[in-house]
Amino acid sequence: MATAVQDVLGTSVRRTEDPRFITGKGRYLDDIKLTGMAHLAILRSPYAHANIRSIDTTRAKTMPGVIAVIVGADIPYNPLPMAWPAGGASGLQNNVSTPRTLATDSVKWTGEGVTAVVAETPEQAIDALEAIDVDYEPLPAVVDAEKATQPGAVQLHENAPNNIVFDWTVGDKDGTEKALAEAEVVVRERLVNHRLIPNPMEVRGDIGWYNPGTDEYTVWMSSQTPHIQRLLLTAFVTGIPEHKVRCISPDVGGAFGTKIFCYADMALVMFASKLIGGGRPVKWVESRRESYGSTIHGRDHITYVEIAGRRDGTVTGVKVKTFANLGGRLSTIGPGIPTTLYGRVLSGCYKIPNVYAEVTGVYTNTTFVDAYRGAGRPEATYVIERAMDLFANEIGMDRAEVRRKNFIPKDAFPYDNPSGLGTAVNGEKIYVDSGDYEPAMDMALKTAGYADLEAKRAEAKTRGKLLGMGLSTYIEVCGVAPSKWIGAVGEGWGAAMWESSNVKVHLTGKVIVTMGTQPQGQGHETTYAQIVSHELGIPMDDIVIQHSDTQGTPFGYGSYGSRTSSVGSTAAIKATDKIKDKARRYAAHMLEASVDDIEVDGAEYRVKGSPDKKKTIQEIAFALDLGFSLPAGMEPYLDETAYYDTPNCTWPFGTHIAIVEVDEETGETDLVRYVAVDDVGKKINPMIVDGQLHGGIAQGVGQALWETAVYDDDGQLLSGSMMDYALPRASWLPSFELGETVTPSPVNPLGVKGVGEAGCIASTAAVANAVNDALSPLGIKHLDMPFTAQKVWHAIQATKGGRA
Amino acid sequence: MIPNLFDYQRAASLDEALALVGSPGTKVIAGGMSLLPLMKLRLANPERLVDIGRLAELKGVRELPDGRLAIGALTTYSELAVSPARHYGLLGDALPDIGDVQVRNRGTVGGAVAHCDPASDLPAVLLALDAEIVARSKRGENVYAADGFFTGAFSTALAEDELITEIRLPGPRDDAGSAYASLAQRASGYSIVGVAAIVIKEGGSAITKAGIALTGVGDAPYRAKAVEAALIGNEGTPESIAEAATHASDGVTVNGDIHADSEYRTAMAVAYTRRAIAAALGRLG
Amino acid sequence: MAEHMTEHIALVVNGTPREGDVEPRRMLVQFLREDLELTGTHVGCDTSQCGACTVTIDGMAIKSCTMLAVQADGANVKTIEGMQAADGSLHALQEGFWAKHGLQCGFCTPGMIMAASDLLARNADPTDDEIRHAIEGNICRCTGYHNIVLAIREAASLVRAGASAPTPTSITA
Ligand SMILES: Cc1cc2nc3c(=O)[nH]c(=O)nc-3n(C[C@H](O)[C@H](O)[C@H](O)COP(=O)(O)OP(=O)(O)OC[C@H]3O[C@@H](n4cnc5c(N)ncnc54)[C@H](O)[C@@H]3O)c2cc1C
Ligand code: FES
Ligand code: FES
Repeated sequence: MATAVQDVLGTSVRRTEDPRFITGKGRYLDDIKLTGMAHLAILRSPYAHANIRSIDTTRAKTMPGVIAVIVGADIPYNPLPMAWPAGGASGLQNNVSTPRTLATDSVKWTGEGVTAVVAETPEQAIDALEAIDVDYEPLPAVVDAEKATQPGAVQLHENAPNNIVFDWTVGDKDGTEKALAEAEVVVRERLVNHRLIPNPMEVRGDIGWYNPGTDEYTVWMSSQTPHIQRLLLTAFVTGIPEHKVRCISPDVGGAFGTKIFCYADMALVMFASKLIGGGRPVKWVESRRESYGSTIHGRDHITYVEIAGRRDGTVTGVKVKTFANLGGRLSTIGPGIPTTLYGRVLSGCYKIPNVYAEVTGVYTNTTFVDAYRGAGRPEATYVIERAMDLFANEIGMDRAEVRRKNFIPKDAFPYDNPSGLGTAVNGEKIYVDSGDYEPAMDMALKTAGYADLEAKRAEAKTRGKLLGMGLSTYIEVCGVAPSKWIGAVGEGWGAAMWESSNVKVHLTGKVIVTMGTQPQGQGHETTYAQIVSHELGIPMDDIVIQHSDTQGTPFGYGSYGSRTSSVGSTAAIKATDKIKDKARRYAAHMLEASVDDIEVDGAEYRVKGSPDKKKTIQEIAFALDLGFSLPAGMEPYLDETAYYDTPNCTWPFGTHIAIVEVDEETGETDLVRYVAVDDVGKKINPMIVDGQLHGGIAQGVGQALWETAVYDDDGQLLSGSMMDYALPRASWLPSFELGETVTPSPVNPLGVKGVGEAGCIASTAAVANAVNDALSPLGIKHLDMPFTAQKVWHAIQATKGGRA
Repeated sequence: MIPNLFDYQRAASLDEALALVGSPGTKVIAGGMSLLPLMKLRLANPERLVDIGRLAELKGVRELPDGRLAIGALTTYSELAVSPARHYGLLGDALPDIGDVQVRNRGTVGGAVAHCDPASDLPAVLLALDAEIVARSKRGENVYAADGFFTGAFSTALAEDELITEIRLPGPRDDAGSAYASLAQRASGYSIVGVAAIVIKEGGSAITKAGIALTGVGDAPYRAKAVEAALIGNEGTPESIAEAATHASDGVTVNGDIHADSEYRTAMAVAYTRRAIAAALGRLG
Repeated sequence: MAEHMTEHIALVVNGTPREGDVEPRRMLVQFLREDLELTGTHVGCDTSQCGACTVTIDGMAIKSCTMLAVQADGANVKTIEGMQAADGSLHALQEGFWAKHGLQCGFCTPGMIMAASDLLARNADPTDDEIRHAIEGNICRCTGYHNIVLAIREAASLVRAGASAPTPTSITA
């Protein structure tokens, strides 16, 4: 039989998951309908800051279809866990306040859950919310992180003086101060990285089902991390034993970080299902407007950056002070984002000898902030890439040349950051694994026509447009992360970060692979199958990838931080290595040869020198799975599990160039071209890699040009729906021009690095630099994002010395 | 997400609809593109909806014997876009950018006019064109001039018991050029500023008539009379248009919100008025 | 609270006559998803902005979250579930989206395909700009639209070639 199987690794095969999605047969959370299912709706605080005096649910209880009305005091659960205290074991104080399942005595942002109704239909649940009377004592609010730390500011939590969650530092303070003091040039700027609302197209929701017969719970959740949620919900929140809970994540309609976390509603549906009895499942699905207060936001940094260097273009030091807004209470890993994932990559792709950062995490009366696509790294990229431009402009040197001069040279890898950015508090290090930054930049410059920039500018000017070009020579830390680095004594995540895979070759030669990771549109069912097919020589059509259910998949940490392709895939390869090893030993038994004489070629296991003596993996699986004849000590079945802990992170890089035009009269800013040259190492499926880049670029461009969460001083979210929060639409974007270089990562056998966040990490800074470049002829040195027409217009007016 | 409870009645004839309109708690629904979003957010909570969506007599575009164009109130934007109305330059400009294709397939001309959203595009077009709005009630027919009809945010001169049946546009003329130019609020797609301009040169090289109307700027779409006055007798040089456009929001209390504060909106009213006039003149050749 | 009546509706969905008794406040999308269990049509917002709920009525794209089920009484509705031919072969748009990687999480995809079907009915050979304009009422958060544009262009050329797009038998084909 053994016809040669086409090697699909590295090719753009169509996605295995698509047939169900293009025919309307995907199964997202809200598509699940269970017998006897009741519906839950949550009444949310209209105030950003208030004490709850009393809650009267009498009227609501009599409304049609209402089964139960729940207030916070009814629920015996603990507050939600906070799993990534900044600083970990370093003794750094994290003044923790996390949400409860429902608020009990105070609310800290508009949208915090206060009361819940369970009813027969979603309509009845929503109708009954209007019959609940909550008596609030409104309090003054503070929404700006910097102002919240100042004397006299409104205080949110007794355990957090001056609203400070933590004061975290990284890098070499003395060295950096000295570099600044001795520098020929120091440029200082205040940079605002504004707040975003992530907006995956599928909102969040959960279904809780308590089975009174078995005393077990099943929780369906639109989540990136079902295993972690089971752990957190049981060990930290509800006290229900872990083995009594099963978490299932069905098809997930986008997540971008928002679905990593442990949310109050997950515990609430568990509680509600048990409360109403009868084994009835309870479903909650947020509305889009509701989600703006019930699901995390992203970014929201105020940063003071100082960049020092010589007039020859050498950067000698960077000092950063950041106020990171974390919202009214902490989300699951909120403090980890502006610290580990931000401060530790602040020197970008540059060999800067002295770097020091201080980050203050702050409570404000706003929706909690946590990881949104890129998580910390877009913020860091924005700071360093803006700073490089500001420095170049100050010394009058070309922006690309300043970058070139400061790139970590290609022979310096693995690169250990001299200021200790890669060194965890336990002394463990991560290194920048590999890189070769100049070719990617040169390719991007050439494609974009950087050399003709001034001619392009002049041409645009004749049309009343200010043209600008912006570079972002980003790097990204992916494949998080070595457990001993990130783990309990390392950086502060209260757990490890390895991944897992189980591979079974069944009797019929079909392969079932179960993974601890969890896709949200990235095509894992395709890419893992490509890898396993390549490794085992079994056609992709004979392989299925299963995930997202704590029952039947090995424990895994889920998908985020661009970790699946480097950490998850390697786990799969380790499992197939074990499969191949056992198959080889069994082939030796079948062929009556010594193991050392068996050579493996795709699906074929042959005796060296006797090409006719061979068995296919399918034949081996058949015999071994039956187990009629086994060599001494060998167990039946081809079934292997591997856990893989990565020795290091991976570091994609590249150069993105945005070309924008600003209408000088109206301030309208358009992205006219976008060039991206990325090096993500080897690619498992280039089509999927490109797709990840496209989507990431669009989100990053969205931040720079249109998207912004705006609160008024009372903590009301003014951009409280899609009517006011501008998500990128098709006609606002050009098609993207992608290029690549390939520097395989030495960290893992595939040489892959990760790509889920790269586009988003690079593009915001590229567009910001482009708009600032466009405005520079008017004498504007720095304008913050988002470059809405009105903001750009005001900036232009200010240069005219008139009204601003 | 889910409206409050209400009763529903589909009108089988215009007379049946007219018998129901105006009773307390009753609202008419046509395409529902304005009403249903409000009801879903429970900002509008009618007790009863009267669906006029099936009334064939209110559909379609006809040319009247005198050359005017009569547009049935239930004509959708999509239908309008393939009707003779598309030859009016300003309608050809405005229609493709109103909402999106799904909204244009459902949203009706009558609904847009009756709803009078402060940022609605069509009312500005009708104002500039000196259109007529025909209304019916049990009491009979009433013809309103567009100028004066749009009285404020979400309010018009229409009586409680009246339904809009038809919109009448003056006949097309060779000596007129028109255009629509707008600056969109990115999230909602509605206009921050929308300007409808029509300029007429009866013989000669000077403008003899002008209709300039703005939406998004004030409480309701309005005619910019000061701009029109400045244009009359004007040859349409760039300088003179620019000067005329500076009066775009004269006498209007200009809106401000997170997308455009009143200072920016005022400036954009001027800029877009100039652009619309220039484009209209450009079409005049 | 006063008693409110339910209404009886009868309509054709994907070629099949369907009936139901609905509260007047029931949106078409809920009728499709909850009563008819056609869950391919999605809900992505509550302000009529995202287009995830797009279906066609007589070939015209509409947002089923902004239409009452009672308004669709008697209508001829098509949802994503009705796009495949009777023999199961894919519609050119489904083929195009699959071939060009026009989807990632797939949540916006049914609405995108239905909106694009309205475009292709009006315009057999749309430019990229026309495609981008035609899907302005549909938000995709995953793809940056780049491949969606390619997918619709591909579908248009399949339709022009007259081939009812074949279903590949294997994903590696
Ligand atoms: C996503 C979205 C985007 C939009 N973007 C734009 C935009 O860019 N520009 C723009 O101008 N508009 C925009 N709109 C609004 C749209 O143009 C209007 O909603 C639509 O034209 C209203 O018509 P309708 O038939 O849907 O009215 P309905 O919603 O049915 O009714 C609106 C109001 O008018 C009343 N009414 C309806 N018909 C009559 C009648 N014949 N006589 C008397 N009263 C009547 C109703 O009682 C109701 O109060 C948008 C809407 C949506 C949902
Ligand atoms: S659900 Fe968003 S437009 Fe219908
Ligand atoms: S594919 Fe995920 S929203 Fe479009």
